[in-house]
Amino acid sequence: MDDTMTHGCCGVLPANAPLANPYVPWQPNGQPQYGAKTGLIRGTLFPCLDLPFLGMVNTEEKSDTMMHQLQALGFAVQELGEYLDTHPDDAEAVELFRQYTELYEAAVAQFDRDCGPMFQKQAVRDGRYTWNETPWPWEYRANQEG
Amino acid sequence: MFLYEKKLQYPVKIDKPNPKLASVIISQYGGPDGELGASLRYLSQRYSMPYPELRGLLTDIGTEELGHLEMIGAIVHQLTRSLSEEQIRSAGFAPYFVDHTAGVYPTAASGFPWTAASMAVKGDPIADLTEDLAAEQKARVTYDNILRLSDDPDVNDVIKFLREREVVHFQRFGEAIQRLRERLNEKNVYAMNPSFDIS
Repeated sequence: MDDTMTHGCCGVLPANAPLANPYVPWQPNGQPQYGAKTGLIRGTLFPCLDLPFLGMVNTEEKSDTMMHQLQALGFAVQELGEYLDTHPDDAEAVELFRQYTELYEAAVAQFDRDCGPMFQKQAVRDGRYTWNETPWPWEYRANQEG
Repeated sequence: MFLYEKKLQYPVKIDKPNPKLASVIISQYGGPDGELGASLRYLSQRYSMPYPELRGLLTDIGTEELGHLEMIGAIVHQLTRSLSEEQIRSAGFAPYFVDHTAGVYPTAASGFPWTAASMAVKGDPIADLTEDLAAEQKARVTYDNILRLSDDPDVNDVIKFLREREVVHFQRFGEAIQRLRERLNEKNVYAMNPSFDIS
């Protein structure tokens, strides 16, 4: 057996691994990524980790509502954040994280202007308290925008 | 502290009520491998976890699991919206209904209420992170089983997303163990408990 084994498209196991230890193959830096909209419906930004059950796969991207854009960008930030917790030295991913957080901040500001507050601290408009004027996230219905 | 964002991590918009399906999916709210246990497991393990990057990962994944709890609550709520008495009687939903009406309560599908006995905080990083690997696998299988039982496309769209998150988190916890190993005595990672013996 080689000291370093690779499996499928991406995993790396340590050389001379001590016994009686748990191992999950390491995801190397710089793996290909989906865009944020595809990442959202697949549940990961990383094609290498996209491992569906019985071929059940979401193929249709969410429509371009402001809420869906926020969800896609927010997801990219969250996914990359967790990746960077274990891969802080992946400079490309750090830069992508910075770009997604910027886009996310801009989308939150736009959402606040056009739809309503995302955070309670945004919930004053024209002297009115607006936190409870938009639907709560579990109240949406099929075919309802947002 | 926690700051609420007025959105779900992933959209939940369910067209048709289905109380029978709700009575199964509630297990991911308060069942043995559900999202409430997941969030409390990771957010509680943080305190004794040595090394900043491991505390960070538990914080970030634990926070995401709270978002998943909210999504499961949204699914159960939408599946039990505007039920007729006939739907309640005919769909096997009556045992849940009699105790909780159409409220969302943390219980397993079996009716066993959520219990901290379904999670662990051992206070040792290898033990806790290995528990987390198993927890992600068990949650993944629960979502597999829900996909076997459900033919509602609006529900399955969300369940496929949540299931994939378990796969990704398994990967991250596995990498966390590798990071931990790099910090410890390579020859014997069990030489001491860094949560307790290093202050």
